[in-house]
Amino acid sequence: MVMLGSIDGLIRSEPLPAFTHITADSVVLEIYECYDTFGILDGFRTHIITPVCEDRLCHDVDVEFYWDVLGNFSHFTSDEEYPLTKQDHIPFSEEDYAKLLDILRTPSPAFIHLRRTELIAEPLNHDDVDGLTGATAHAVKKDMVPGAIYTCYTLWHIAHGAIHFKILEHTRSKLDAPLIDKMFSIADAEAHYFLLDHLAPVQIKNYLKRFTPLAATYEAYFLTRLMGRMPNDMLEKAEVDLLIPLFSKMENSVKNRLLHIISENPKVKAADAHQLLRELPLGSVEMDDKIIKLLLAKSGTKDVGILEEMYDHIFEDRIKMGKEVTEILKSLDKTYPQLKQKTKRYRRSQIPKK
Amino acid sequence: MKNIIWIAVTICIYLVPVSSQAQETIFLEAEGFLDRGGWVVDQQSMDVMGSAYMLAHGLGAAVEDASTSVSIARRGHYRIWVRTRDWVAPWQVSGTPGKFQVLVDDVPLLPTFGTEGADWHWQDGGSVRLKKGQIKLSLHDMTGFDGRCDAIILSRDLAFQPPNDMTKLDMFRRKQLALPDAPEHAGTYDLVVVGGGIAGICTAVTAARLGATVALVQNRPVLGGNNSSEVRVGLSGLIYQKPYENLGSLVDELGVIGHWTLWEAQQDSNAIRSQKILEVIRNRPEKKEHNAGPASNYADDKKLQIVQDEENISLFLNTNVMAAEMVDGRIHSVTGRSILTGKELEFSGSLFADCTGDGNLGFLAGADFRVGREAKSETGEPRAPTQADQLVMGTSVQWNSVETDSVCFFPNTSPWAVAFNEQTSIQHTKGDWDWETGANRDQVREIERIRDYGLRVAFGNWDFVKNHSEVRADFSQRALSWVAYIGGKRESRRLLGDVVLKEQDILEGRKFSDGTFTTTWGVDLHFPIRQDGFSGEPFLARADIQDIQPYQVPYRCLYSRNIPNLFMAGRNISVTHVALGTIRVQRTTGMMGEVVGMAAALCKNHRAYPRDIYEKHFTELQQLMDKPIGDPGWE
Repeated sequence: MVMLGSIDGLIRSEPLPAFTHITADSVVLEIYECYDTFGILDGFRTHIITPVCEDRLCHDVDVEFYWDVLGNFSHFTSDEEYPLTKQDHIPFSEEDYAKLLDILRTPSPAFIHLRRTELIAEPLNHDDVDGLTGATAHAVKKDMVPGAIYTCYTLWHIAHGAIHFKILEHTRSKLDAPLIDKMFSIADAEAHYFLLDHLAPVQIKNYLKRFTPLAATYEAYFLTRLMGRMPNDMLEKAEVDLLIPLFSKMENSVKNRLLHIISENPKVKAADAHQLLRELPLGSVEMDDKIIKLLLAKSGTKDVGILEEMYDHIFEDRIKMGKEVTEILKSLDKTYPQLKQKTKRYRRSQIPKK
Repeated sequence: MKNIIWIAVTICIYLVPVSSQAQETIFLEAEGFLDRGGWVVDQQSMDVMGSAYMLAHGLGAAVEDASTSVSIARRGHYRIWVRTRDWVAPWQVSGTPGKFQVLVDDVPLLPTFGTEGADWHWQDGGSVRLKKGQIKLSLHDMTGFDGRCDAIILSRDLAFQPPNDMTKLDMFRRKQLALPDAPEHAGTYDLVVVGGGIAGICTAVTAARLGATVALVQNRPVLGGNNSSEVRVGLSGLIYQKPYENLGSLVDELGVIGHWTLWEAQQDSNAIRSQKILEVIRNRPEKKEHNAGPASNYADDKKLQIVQDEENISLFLNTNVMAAEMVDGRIHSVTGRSILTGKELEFSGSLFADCTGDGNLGFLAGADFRVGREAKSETGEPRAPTQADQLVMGTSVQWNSVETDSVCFFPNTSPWAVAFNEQTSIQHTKGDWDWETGANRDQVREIERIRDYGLRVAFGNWDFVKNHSEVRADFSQRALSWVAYIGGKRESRRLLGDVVLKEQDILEGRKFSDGTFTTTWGVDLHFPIRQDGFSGEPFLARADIQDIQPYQVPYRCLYSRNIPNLFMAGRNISVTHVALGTIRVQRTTGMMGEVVGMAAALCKNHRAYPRDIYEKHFTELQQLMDKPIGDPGWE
């Protein structure tokens, strides 16, 4: 759950609703924006008065719901005068409130697979005393306040239903520099993925220096999404320089794409690309070959030092190259006489041992 | 049924010493081993890698060896190559859970396989001296965590290196297996149905019962698709809906009693059908478990029997359609490759139905298709995003567990599985539909990776909950009973018809003159969600469901707009991403199959194409839809 600022930080909300939402039970909710002390969007709130029982025998629920800017349910408040009630109008205890909050904060409660009509079933026979349907009855109960099944179910679906997506859409429309900056600053992957998915490609390029440190700490999927948002023509030398150090974090398809971009961009020199040597061996002869070929294609006479480093790395880690690259490495001294010793050693290393 | 089931076709052709190289090279497809032991055959990535492969899916306990016998014509040194990969390497994690040994006459080769390389490749097994005569070759799983082997080569040429390039490998494979250049002809049919899920079964059986000759081609050993015991997604959606209240009778005949049939029975408990359903549930309460339930809940045998009982159907299991031959813009034939032997068969037909789910046949034929979400500016749909993108609903890798009599063990999965902690772990005893991943990935080309991520998640979570969490005592006697290795897909290609159904058509109840089956499931879209404190690829989904009034889907969504003799039934029909949310559930796709089967029979009678049924013969289709094609036998 993303907590943008503290809950107490919700110091102000707009007088007019940002949008309205109609629940599955046809209750119209007015959703208001909330701001932090700096006036930056911090979340959303709404007042909910809704029936929860099929037979309307229990009291209506009367609560205030809060979400963060990513549409994640944050918390709720209720008026002491109108407490939540269970069966037979028994008011919620403190434990019940705490349990309900836990349930509402659970993204995937056990009852997520059930429709309202499936919550209670007629017993099939007298032995079947369990009112809950299905084989998940035990798990479903675990995620319910006893005596308030419909309350839990109804409120969870409001907290996590279509309103979540509407909030995301609304936040997307409000993305300005302060909000973007704030979302980068918080330590939450969901906010960072949101930026990745919703900033325009040109914005992603502009914010690449903010994204790449995150990519270094996140799993490879983040880089896949990051690269997926930027077309090749947007990845110029400055961007490539930022991405090369992250090579080891990339999925293979992304690695291949970056290698292609490097090879196509004459501004990226052997000196820029030579740190890719550190990645060898990659566990794939084809990929190792590609890097060596790329380096050779980028190298000129002034890059002999880099090529020497390449040989040393191949010797040190006993890297096996494909046939074509092996042949090239055997005779590179024809182009670069300075590499005579290295190529000689390489040729020797390729003689099969008996 | 004409019995042409490929389950046990002459495996011997698969162990081919190649004459052109004077028997110097022996090529063995792992899936062609005489005894597969505890290894299973996975064909999901066949369109990408050209072959099925063997998988050691043991849920953490090493599976039994697979073995075969190989005839060595000349004694001497042979170099051995094993096509495999380290399946967790794409995530740059160590631990090599997929490691296995190759044994020659029960003696392991020196290298351990499945330990290197993110991509499929030939791993060098070194050279061994082999005697003339029969030798035993075995795959020995070391972990039970999904090691995989595609093929093995024994070569007397010690310098020989098999190709890794896909095109070269395919040619090499064909040559080594001595496969003929042209596939064997497997018949000419009125209708060739590709895909044996619920939609495909219903299409084939309906057409067959109405007099058409049908080839039903399915790429797994069982029928049922997502509703088979391999994937275990329960049947959803209502049948017997107005105005064609007999549509769904065949779906009902398939007889998979479960969650929704129980719900129907409870609405009208006095009806004979209801009483029989309630009786079944009373005797077999486990049938209430909708998703990821016991294998028997999904009645594979019953589906097979219904198909086999049809004289007009020729069933081809284990056959993956890889190519379509076009003549004058129409499909003339399709070529299927056995997932066990590599042998190819050609199916000719007047009409074809793409019931593959992935729209594979349409793709091969050049049918117009769409992947991902349309933009709001394009469709005007309330729930369409501002910009079009490639997001789809993901693939479920479901799992379940059982309580055992004693404390049971589950291995440590660190460092290769997805790491969990108290905050991120899911302390459930089963993984239902919402264990869903890959929404941002290509569901066809990346399915191995998508499934593998689902496995890394399921195993990593189970390891944490069972072995390390605060509630581990509650799980001490609990054991994983099943984890899917065939992914349950929801969405990939959608083939485009003369009408592309949109969200507002459904929400506004827009009537089409060619309405057919009725969809009842809410517009149910899934989105990936992220656990608190979790930065990796999402592995759970949430459902955003917009309830609907029952809605009749137009016939023009059921055939291709640019391939004149191509029908579609299943999740790959002509709908937008949003509209897919309602029609994709399987009792609804079954009704599509019934309609397409009826239309195909009319096409046969009138020597017509699918579009002609809408333009000239729709009244006849309406008459057919009024009558039940199935006989559930309740009365």
